Amino acid sequence: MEEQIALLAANLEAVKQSAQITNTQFAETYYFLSIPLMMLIHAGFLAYEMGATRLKNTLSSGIKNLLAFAFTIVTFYFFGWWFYWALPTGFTGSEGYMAISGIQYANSIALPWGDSAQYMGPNIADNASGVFWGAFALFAATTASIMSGALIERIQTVGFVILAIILGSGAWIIAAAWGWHADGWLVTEWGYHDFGAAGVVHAVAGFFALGVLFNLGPRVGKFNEDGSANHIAGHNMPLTVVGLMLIIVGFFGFLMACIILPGESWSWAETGTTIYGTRMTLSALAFNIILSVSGGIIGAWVFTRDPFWMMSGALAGIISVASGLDIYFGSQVIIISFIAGIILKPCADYVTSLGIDDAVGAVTVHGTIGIYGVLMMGVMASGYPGLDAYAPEGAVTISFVGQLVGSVVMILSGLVPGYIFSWVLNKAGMLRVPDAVQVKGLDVVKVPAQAYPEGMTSPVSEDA
Amino acid sequence: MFGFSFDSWADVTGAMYIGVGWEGTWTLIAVVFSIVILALGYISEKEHYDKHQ
Repeated sequence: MEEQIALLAANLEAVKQSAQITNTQFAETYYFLSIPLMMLIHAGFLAYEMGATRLKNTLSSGIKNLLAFAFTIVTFYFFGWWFYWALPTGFTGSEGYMAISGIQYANSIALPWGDSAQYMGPNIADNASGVFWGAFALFAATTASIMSGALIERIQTVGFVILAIILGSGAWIIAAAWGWHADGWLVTEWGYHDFGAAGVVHAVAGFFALGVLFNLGPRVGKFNEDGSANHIAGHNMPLTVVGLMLIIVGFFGFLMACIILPGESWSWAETGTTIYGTRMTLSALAFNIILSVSGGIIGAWVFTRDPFWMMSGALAGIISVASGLDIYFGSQVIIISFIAGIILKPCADYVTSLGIDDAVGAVTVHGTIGIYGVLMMGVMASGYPGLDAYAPEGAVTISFVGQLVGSVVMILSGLVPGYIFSWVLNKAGMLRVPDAVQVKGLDVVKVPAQAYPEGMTSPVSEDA
Repeated sequence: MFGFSFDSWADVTGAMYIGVGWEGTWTLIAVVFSIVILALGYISEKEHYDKHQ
């Protein structure tokens, strides 16, 4: 009898070990697969941005977009990842309640040198660091791509790359440490909730782009002497629209990577949770992502009947509910994303009326709608607990004031560095492409390749 | 710089990449590469602009 019990116990232990191995491999695979899905965001931005560019600048826009991705990833490895773990409690770099933050902690896991380097490369005992780093690196590259579209056809390549590094491996990840980390001061002190990063990714990137636009100036020919604006059409609307749809596909990878899976030593609870430790499911995302895309498309269609704005509306739809994708009810998602789609074009027109040439409406889609999404979360979810697993006693709840404070922080986190660093680059002559080159076309001046083998024309719409 | 931390795969318990103990040197080289490439890129870009003004 005792032998049988011992055998059963041994078998049970073997089954538990096997189940743990399966869980670990599943978790690693889950986050790993989110990375190529997020690559689709960049495939989308590449197509979208090249299509929104005039024929004469097509390839230089592509080069700029590719380099934004590449340099952001590389520098995120050098130092961006460190910021996320070092600064949640603020610039003091002190340790937070969860003991997974602070300069000392960051030094031990997030630098590619010294003892922490073991977590920044192949390690048989570490199935988590690489996939988490990869997912965050793709978030970082997304911020750079968001900025990229707004600046097309007149920003210098290297100047732009420097700005992409500052945004992707600096500005946004510091904001994420504050508002997208269980030890983040916006979370623990203000109950800030931004599950899908409407603020920490989209708003920061959108307002960073706005800061740059102030110094960069408009494309040659965008504005007339009386201040009125000319529409500068891209050379390939179908490419742009398909690119936007690819971004939507990639968002599924982005958002699935925002879940902390259960069953691992780094898990928060026995269920899937948000980055704040609050409970959630993939089913919630399935409902709310698809509904928000649809709501945004319909809302934008109402006034524009333009496929570019309809697909931008799809993006705006997701961004408008991103903060609460984990807890919104489907019908609420439809309403919020409808409104986002409806206000999108008027908001973009307002930006243009200020003399700002945002070539693809990125400031509005990501900046304005990102803030709208963060604030709507405050309206809809006030009173919800802000943290769950391991929450310190007396942790604050989600509130409109907390979301408002978070919004201000996100705007400033983007706008201030975007303005300051682009001002410096402008003074150094590294920001704006000379007007003569803009008129001639960037591709013929600096790209040793040709976008298309022959000229292409398309009839002009009677409504254009 | 090309060292490793184990003699056979059966002994692997942690880091298993090439150059254990030299990570800082490799990272420094990669950083310098990145900066030099950016600088060369800027010089090349400026030459192209100057030529067409």
